[in-house]
Amino acid sequence: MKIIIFSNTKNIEKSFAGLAKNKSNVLQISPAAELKKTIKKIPGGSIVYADLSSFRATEAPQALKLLAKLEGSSYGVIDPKGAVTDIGGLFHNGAADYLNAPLLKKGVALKRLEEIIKFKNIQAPDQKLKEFKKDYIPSGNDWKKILVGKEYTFCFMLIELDNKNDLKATGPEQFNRISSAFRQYVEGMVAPLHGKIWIWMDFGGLVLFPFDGKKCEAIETAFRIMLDRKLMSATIVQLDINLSYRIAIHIGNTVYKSKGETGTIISDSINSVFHLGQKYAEPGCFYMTDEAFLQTPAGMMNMFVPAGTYEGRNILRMRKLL
Amino acid sequence: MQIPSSLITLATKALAESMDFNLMTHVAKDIIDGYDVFKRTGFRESMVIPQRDAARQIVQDMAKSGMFFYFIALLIQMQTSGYKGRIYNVSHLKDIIKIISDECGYIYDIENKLFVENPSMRRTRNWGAFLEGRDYIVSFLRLDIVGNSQLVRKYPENLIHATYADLRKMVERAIDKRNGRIWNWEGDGGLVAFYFANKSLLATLSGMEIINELFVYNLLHCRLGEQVQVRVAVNTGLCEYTGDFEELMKNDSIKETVQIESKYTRPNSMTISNTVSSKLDASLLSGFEIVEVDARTKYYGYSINLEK
Repeated sequence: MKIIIFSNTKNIEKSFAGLAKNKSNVLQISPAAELKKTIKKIPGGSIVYADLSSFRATEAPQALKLLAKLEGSSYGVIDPKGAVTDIGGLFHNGAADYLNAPLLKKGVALKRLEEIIKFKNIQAPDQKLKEFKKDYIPSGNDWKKILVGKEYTFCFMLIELDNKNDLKATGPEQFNRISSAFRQYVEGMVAPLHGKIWIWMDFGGLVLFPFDGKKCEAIETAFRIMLDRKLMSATIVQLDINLSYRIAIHIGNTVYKSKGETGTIISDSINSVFHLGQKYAEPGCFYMTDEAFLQTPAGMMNMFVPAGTYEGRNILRMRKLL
Repeated sequence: MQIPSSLITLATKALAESMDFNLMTHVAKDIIDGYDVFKRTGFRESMVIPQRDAARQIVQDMAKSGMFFYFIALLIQMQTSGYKGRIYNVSHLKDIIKIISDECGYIYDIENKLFVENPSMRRTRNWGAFLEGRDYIVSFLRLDIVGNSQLVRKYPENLIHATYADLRKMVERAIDKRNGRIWNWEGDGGLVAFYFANKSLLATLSGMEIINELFVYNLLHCRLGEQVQVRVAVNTGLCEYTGDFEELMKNDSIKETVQIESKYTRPNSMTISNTVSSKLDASLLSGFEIVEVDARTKYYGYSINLEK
């Protein structure tokens, strides 16, 4: 479960350290000023805490109003200075928790989180994952058991170069060189995980990773590809330009067909990952759906921020490289 | 290294067929200062040494003194770029180069005009090419583990060993593909040298890869209860080569690299000197931050900064 805390209080994370005992819990501390900007992008099923002592007296009521309108997630109020006079009123307005100074000192335990989940009838990530898994037809760790014409669950990675016009303007020869070097680089990165380029167009393509229903290492690889942008540009392009590209990852089902024979496939998963990558994604960014995020290694979860919902799915984005 | 007798024979033949006595002695003197073929063969100076005998003696002496590959590299240059203003056609050069590659595992590096070991066959500290006491322009990458002493005190020895071995593997992966060589590795870091191709670029890319890989390692794979932090510095400069590491560390370029690392580099970042940045494309430098050293000198820093 994602627990997002909007607070400027030093060491606030210590009060929530007990929640990290469950590795599926991800703690994100954001400055209080971010609440207004990011509240609409918070993924469903999260718990949001707002530290009232980090807001000016005039801002606090507005923050509480915003929290009361939160859809799909629950919220709690942190009140170390005991500023709230009507605690019951908070709960009437939909709050799920209230933490005063003694409770903060004691620390928030896992049991408290479980009680909130029960109280607010929240769908925890474990439950969500269970629900996703109902539809999974694991394809395994490699391609050995995958048969043409049968349906399986795969991890889909769409990767595509940005600045299409600028790249085309380098001339056909130069552009072909960049495109094929980029393809070669992607192939080299995904091959150790049995990733296969399934569809390739001029600017990028769709990579398919077999998925065993347990872990998805493609997310770590995509993360590396984003980090290595400059390194890759200097290594493969050998022109004085920085390549920019976007990545979208989704886990879902499709009938497997051989490369080149994919034109007739009707798959919600393929559509979703193409739409996410080509229509929703900002240039130079890495996005994924909730289905994929639930497979993200715990240590990496904090590297992603909520990026709204798209086509009925919660979307997360890797923090931008500055 | 032992030069195969077939190679000695072929090089002797090439020398004897391609140049007269005077020219071959000039060439020999260029490689071994004060070389005296009369003394070496036992002929008196008033006598004429048969061309083939002189050639045999010169080639054998080159092999004995460890200068055989330098000698062949000079013959290649005589045929390609010329010697004292003239191009010479040297027989059997292609065959000689092939034997050197197949039997000795050395390949000719056109850019630096010398034979170097084939990295797929052998990897020694000086690429099999550097000679003791000679000057070379080398790019250095210095890496230091931040807070090594505290880590060593805080964690059990086996955990520290395993963590540092992970880091060393990370460094090796980054430098091996770019033909870099570890010149020194101690518990808390090391020194890597690059000599071939665009060495400044290769050293910089290696440093970037180390910083990137360490970032992912700290997120997902670190064995310690905290991040492993490093400082990386890259610098290019003149270096008089010696196999003695203590002597090597007295070299000004290496001392400067160490200073850049310790004085101008933040944890988990890399700083490159101006001798390095001047060899890089503007696009690569665009994301680097400027590190002001003084009014005339600026370095560049690389680190991973993600939005908060």
